[in-house]
Amino acid sequence: MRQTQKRLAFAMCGALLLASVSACGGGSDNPTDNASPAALTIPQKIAQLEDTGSLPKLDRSADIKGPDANSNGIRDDLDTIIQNTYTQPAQRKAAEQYAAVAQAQLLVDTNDKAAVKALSVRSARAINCLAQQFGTMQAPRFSDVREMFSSYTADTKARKLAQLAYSKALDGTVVSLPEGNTCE
Amino acid sequence: MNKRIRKSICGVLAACITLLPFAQAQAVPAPSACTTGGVDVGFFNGVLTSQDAATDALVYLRAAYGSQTAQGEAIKYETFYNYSAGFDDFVETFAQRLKEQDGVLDNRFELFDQAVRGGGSLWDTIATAMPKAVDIVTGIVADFTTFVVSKLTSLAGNPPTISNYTEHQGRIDALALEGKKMLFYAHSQGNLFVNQAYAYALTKVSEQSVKVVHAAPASPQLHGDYTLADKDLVINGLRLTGTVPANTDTIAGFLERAPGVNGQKDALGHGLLEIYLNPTLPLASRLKGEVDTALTTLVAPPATAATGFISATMTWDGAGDADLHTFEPDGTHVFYGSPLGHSGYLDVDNTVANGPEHYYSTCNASTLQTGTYRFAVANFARADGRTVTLQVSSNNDGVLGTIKATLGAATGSNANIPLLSVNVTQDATTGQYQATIAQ
Repeated sequence: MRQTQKRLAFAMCGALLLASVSACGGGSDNPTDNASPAALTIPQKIAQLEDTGSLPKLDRSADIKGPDANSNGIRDDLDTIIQNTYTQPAQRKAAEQYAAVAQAQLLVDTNDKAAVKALSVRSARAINCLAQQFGTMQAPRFSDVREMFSSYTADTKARKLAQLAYSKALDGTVVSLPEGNTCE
Repeated sequence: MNKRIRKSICGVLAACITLLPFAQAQAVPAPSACTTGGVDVGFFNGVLTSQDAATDALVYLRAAYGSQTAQGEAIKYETFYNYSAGFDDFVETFAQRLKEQDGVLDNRFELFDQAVRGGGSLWDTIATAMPKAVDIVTGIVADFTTFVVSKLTSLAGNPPTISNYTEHQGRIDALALEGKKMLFYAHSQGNLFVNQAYAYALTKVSEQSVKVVHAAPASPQLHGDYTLADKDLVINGLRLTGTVPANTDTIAGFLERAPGVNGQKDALGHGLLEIYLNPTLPLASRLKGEVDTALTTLVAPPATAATGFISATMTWDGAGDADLHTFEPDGTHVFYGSPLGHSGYLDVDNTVANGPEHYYSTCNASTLQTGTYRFAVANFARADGRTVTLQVSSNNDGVLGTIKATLGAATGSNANIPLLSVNVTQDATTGQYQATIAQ
């Protein structure tokens, strides 16, 4: 009797083990079966969120600039996000105008005070344009778009430090909010 | 002819013609017609605010307080920007936090802005895959609170001086000269800077012409009405080690608070957009009332110069006669000996000490030249070794550049020190003019 119980226990354990292996995808004969989310590692889950678009898939290359195949001043991954997100041409252009400024902020020579100052004026015009196209009341508000591209542009430590260097170079300056249409 | 006599004649001429370009501008609406008079709202940003985030705040201030006063005067919004020294140090702290939980989020700096507020959509999404991400955010908020309080405490103990902020000072000079009312609006760390700016402004205009409104004051020194939330963790942190004003308003706790005007929440209870402009919190109404009162009671200072499409204001640091020389795109040389150009006018000329000298271009599209305007200085007499400061601004884009130069020996009317150049262009499609600093 005790032996039978032992065998049953072993059998149940074996079944459970098989079931668990199967649940992990390891028991399948078909190598194309997708893995169950429950058993994915955290990095795999995050990669999945990026693949589905729930999280942005951003370039994290070591250089500050990153890839810009069409040389429009906007990193290619951010270009893709803009094209996929904004269907209204005016909003798309406004997002492009700011994304290009945000990228330029990382690359400007912060010792060149005139260049930094000129970029700050460009930046204010781009933000005013975002405000015109997205408004302040309904999501996505202009500030959602502005902060998103600012954050995505500075998506590595090196890029964040470059972005801060730009702000630091503006210490003590005066920057105006323009009126009217400042969209390019 | 003696230069002072020539300058007196020029002054009479100025009185006769100084308003002519604006009269023309009214008769012939120009694409970039200037706004004259009005109020300048100078925003003194809070701690750890990027310049772009400060511009976001300007947009929301404009949305909250309007583009015109109740009396119909134009309101211009601009940031008197200050950067928080040591921000870089917090970047390292943040980088270390991202290495927690096996480093899954290592180097994902796009999470920075949301993290310091206590979370956001990116973190919420990550938490679906990594519940312990919440612990990382909690740690970052704790680090950030400590860091901000530390930075503010340090700054309060060693406050900034206006002399470190030449462009702020130059802007105040120009606003006073052009007869603008000034409302300084300070948040957080900006309160330490606004105190210096206010003291400087009072050397140019009376108390009736410059007012201050304080939000989340990080300093006990106040020059106007203020608003302070009881759950502002940053100011409460400062209160433990120093003196800050008493709270004015009670706000709900973090979990119960509705998002702010920007749709975001702030765990620290300190954000301008999340807390102080949050329309669901009564303190936003208090702040608006304070702004409205200031706008209603401000009195314009006497204008001694006109506002142009581009304006140049030059000052110097002592006795002597320095002269501003402007070369307009067609080569017209505008200076004390020939103050009326084809596009602009030297409407203020100082022959004794300190300046100012002031040139402005017309806002009339029919006479405003496109091309490069070059500004230079000459030591006419007795200004050897003086430091001159030139600030050039455009009517729509504000300050384009500020530069200092040291004068050599007197050169009379020979403007031998170039300062700044500005390009004026016109958009062929919209007809709008834009001025940019030439690099």
